[in-house]
Amino acid sequence: MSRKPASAISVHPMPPVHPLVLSHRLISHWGMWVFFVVILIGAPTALHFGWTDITSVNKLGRYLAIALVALGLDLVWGYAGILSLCQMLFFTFGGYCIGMHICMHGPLTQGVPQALAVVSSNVNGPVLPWFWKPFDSATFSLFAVLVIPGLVAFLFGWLAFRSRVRGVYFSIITQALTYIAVNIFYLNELKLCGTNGLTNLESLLGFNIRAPTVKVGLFMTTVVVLAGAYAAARWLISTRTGRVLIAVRDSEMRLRFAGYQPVAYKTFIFTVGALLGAIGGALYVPQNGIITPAKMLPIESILIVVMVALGGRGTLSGSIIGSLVVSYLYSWLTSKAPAVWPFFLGGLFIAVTIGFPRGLVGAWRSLGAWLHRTTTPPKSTTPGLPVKSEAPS
Amino acid sequence: MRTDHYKVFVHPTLAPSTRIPLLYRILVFVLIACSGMSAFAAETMPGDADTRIRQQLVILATPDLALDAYKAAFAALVDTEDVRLNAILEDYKTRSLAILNGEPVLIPTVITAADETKLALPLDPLTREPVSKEPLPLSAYVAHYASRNEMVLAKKTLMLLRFADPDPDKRLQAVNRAGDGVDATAREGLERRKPHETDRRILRAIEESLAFQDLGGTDDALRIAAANRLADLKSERAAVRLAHYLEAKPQLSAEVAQTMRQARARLESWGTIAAGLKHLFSGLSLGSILIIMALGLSIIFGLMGVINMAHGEMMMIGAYSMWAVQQLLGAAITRGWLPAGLMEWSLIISIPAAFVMAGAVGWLVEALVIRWLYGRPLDTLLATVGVSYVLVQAVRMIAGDSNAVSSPTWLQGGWEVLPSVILPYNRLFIIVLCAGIVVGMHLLLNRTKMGLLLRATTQNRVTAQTLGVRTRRVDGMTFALGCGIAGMAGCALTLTDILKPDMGSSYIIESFMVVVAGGVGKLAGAVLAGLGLGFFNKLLEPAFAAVWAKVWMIAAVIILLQWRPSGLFPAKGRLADT
Amino acid sequence: MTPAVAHSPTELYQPSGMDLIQLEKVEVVFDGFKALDISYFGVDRNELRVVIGPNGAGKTTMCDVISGKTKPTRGRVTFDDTDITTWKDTDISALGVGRKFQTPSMFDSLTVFENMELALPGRRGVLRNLLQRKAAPADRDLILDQLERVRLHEVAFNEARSLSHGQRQWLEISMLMIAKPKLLLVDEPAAGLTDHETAMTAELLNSLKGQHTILVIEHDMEFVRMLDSRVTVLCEGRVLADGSLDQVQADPHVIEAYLGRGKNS
Repeated sequence: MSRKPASAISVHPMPPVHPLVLSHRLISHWGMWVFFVVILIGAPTALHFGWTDITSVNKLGRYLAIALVALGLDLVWGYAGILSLCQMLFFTFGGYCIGMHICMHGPLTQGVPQALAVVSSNVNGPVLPWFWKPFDSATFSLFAVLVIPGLVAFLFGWLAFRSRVRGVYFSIITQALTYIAVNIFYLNELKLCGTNGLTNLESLLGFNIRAPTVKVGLFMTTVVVLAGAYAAARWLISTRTGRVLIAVRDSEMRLRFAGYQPVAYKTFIFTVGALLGAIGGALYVPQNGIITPAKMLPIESILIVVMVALGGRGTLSGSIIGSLVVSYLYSWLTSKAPAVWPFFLGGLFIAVTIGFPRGLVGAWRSLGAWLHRTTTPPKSTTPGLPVKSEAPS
Repeated sequence: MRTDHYKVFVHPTLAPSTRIPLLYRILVFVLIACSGMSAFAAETMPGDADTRIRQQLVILATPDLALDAYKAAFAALVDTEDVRLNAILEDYKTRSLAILNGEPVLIPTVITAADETKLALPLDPLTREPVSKEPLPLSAYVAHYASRNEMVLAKKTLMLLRFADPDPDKRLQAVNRAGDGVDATAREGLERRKPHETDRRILRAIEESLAFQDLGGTDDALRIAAANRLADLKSERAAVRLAHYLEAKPQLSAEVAQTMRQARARLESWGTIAAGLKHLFSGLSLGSILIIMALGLSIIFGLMGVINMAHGEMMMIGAYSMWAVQQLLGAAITRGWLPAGLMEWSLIISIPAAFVMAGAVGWLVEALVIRWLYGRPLDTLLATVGVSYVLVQAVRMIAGDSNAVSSPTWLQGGWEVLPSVILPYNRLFIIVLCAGIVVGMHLLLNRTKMGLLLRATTQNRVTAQTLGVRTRRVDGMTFALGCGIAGMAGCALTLTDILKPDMGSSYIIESFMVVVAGGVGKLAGAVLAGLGLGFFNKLLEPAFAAVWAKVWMIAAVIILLQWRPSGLFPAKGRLADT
Repeated sequence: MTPAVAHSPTELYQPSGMDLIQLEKVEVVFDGFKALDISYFGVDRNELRVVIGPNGAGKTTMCDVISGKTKPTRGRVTFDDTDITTWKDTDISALGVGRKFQTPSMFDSLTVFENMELALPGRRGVLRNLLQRKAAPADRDLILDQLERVRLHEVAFNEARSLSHGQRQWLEISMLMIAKPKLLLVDEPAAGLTDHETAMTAELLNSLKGQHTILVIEHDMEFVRMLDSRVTVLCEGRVLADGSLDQVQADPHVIEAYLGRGKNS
């Protein structure tokens, strides 16, 4: 999408574009889409030919579900400047909604899902709490995945933003929120299976989630959903609302004086971010087979922040790339040298924040600008014409 | 002849005019004086007391005497109030008291020789030394097979002896047990002990037990008086006892039952008040810790614009410095370099040590990480999260996952302000320490040159630099100061919390709540909010689970922010926008 | 209408109903310090008024009071015959008061064009703006015209952060202008500008004279001279003098205020 109307620029012959610059531009524009298509088609193909195993495919599927959360955070933080440290809360809520549905269709003891019956302390046998019953229906559960986290995000966000809670204070409060949520879910009295979480999940919509074919199907669904979400996010940013969100980050005061309601915009994007997180959770749980409240611990949400920071905040593609990088690094390091992981994570935080604020994608773009500068001979026809900034990818 | 000199010493029936030689008179005087003195000091001279005890023991071991004789012997033993009798009577109960050649001995262990004869080694009952080198056959001993009556007497004697035990805890225990049954002897023993007892706590227990005795009796007037007395004493045990009586014994007269009910109601309401006071106090001590943490955070955020998510870890480092100090002291003491008594001082030594250690780590963090991030509070939040993970893992690798820290003995126990309201000394210490730190901070920031440089640098860095202030150094010092304070809080926290590498994480969120609620404008904000949240938390805890208390706390903070978006005491004026 | 130099409030002209903005007996106290103590201050419609004064005189505070950022502890503020003393700053801005801050504040990550686009009046809702991707042609022309007036049309599609300081000032003024405000508050527009940029800024403001009501706060006397308008002098929160620049500069009280008295400098 070009932002330059022809009338505003003095026309002069375009210099020949260097192949490196061209390839850089191509990758920047089409890279993510190619990636999606490749894994969508490539993974099942590789599986079929035995080049990879179902565990790896499943792993990638799970990591892509988490990438959805990161995408949501990039919209909320990278574009609107709201550092939310509770994205995994919405992820877990969405995961629980789907999980409860799966449980209701799994092995039951006296009508009560096994995971709940196991922790029941009722003398007469486990009783199904009233709020579990609706999750029997798939439609309700799918709605719940969106409505419950969405409502929580909307209410909390609206309350917080409306009281002009400053950026840093807001982050602290979100962290407190997720910390409390973990402790609440841990309580057995809440009838949400306490610390065990929802375990031994078996089948979703009649499909046995442990079967390889179903896993592949879930994987492909995740890829499609992520690609769709990515496209939707790109579209969102290109609208005026997207520009207002960036304005909220840059100078909320100026925006307010210009007559906008930053509260409405912030609540909106916070809810969108939460919805993306919830969808990620709903895709994650069938692929993971279990969901526990521990996913809401502050560290989990902070990992998402590292992902977006590493990938490059405010770039959308960076969130996905960053989340995959961090996820794979996490899995590799914790199996090779678990004691080193906290050092690595901590070091990554520090290094990225201090020395690498633009992230991987940002570095990529700087590379593009550098390539452009070095390969284009400096020939300006209009004196004083400032250098054009590169087009966003 | 000087007759007046003799009048005092010579028996009055002797004629004063009889001439008795002076030497004889002196001798008589000396003898009578000695016997008089010995009669006077009969009870305090150990040797004599021992003899008397032995005499009574012989009586007890003599078989087939009348029960009254045994009773008298026991009574005499009670009068001696000798602690050693506790052990001897226990041996009596196991039928180990015997007589050997007219002297009482203990034969606690019986061995069977090769030829099937039973032997026992006799011990002196008071010294527990063997009386003979070889064990002697049982036939050499004479013993009385104590009947049930005698056993009961022995038990009673033990109880009465325990009333006089020098150890106050044992005395208290005995007195409390004396209130359990309705027993004339016990009552007598309690009454006897009352005027001698000096410990207030035990005196109260004596009153309690006496009242219990009356309560269990049959005289209604006495029972009514006893019930009221127990309510006055605010006795904890009485509530249960009264409930028992009211439920189990319906044959109480209406008046008695009503008095008991009233007394019970009074005691229950006092119990609620006492519990409330205890919670208030817990809230105060929790609040103190939160205040200190929030103070450090406020200084770092309010003066530097830096969010320190690693603050909990600074506190943890302070706590671990207590552990380190104790390890070092322990090693030095075992090697004999330092006296053993120094371990008691480990807390006092650790507090400045914690300040230094946490401050040093803080200074390092500032120099390596924070200095690149001024003006970017969200970035400092992220970077310090990274720092916190590094610190936790580092400490875990150095010190392991669980460590023990011993509290000094002079902080054990508590101050009984009111009946049933005991304020633990260790929490009192924490409160006092925190108050001291707050005052110290205020003085440091407002009355010292360093405080002035600190405030100047943070309010207008460039101007401070042009005036020659080494702002880089001030930055490091400020951050180190904030972290040092947290370290001291951590050190104090070892008195009540378990030492773990991730102990900081449970306080960081609440500390930030305090900062958010209190605002970063003034010290008063941190103090008020810290106290408020501490109380709020602890007051809600009995009604809800600890977690719900936290939920309400966060909700309260959010509601507070609706009304005051920047906390209770926000920074005002032009600078508030930056 | 311009009176001779006045020294005391009683000598100032009486409020005429034509003043767009009026401050009556306004006092602002910060923590015991009286930042503003104005008996009367008013700006005519379509007038360009300059407010000068030594540092700490209360000029920015007065701007804050008018725009609603600070509430006066006493007194009344009237805008366009509406009492706005207790109004929120965003409501006052909706009424038509545009404020340019001392430090230019704009949306650095967006292009100059996008900055202007957001400043256009109308269309503030979240969901409505979701349906909008590019600016309508009429709007585009309007924006480019406006940018041309401030010589920014050539950099229209560069990020705002790449502008020079002077260009940022003009962009901010343009963003305010495009919203067609009734009153424009301009706080130190010449700060940090080169001589050339200062002259251009004066030219810009002069071109707006007669079409908009503008209140300018300034320090730079050369700039004030270029504006050639009525000047009010504030000192220690009070109105000290009022008149043309020459009149005001000749006034001994004003001279004393600027050069300082003996005891405090």
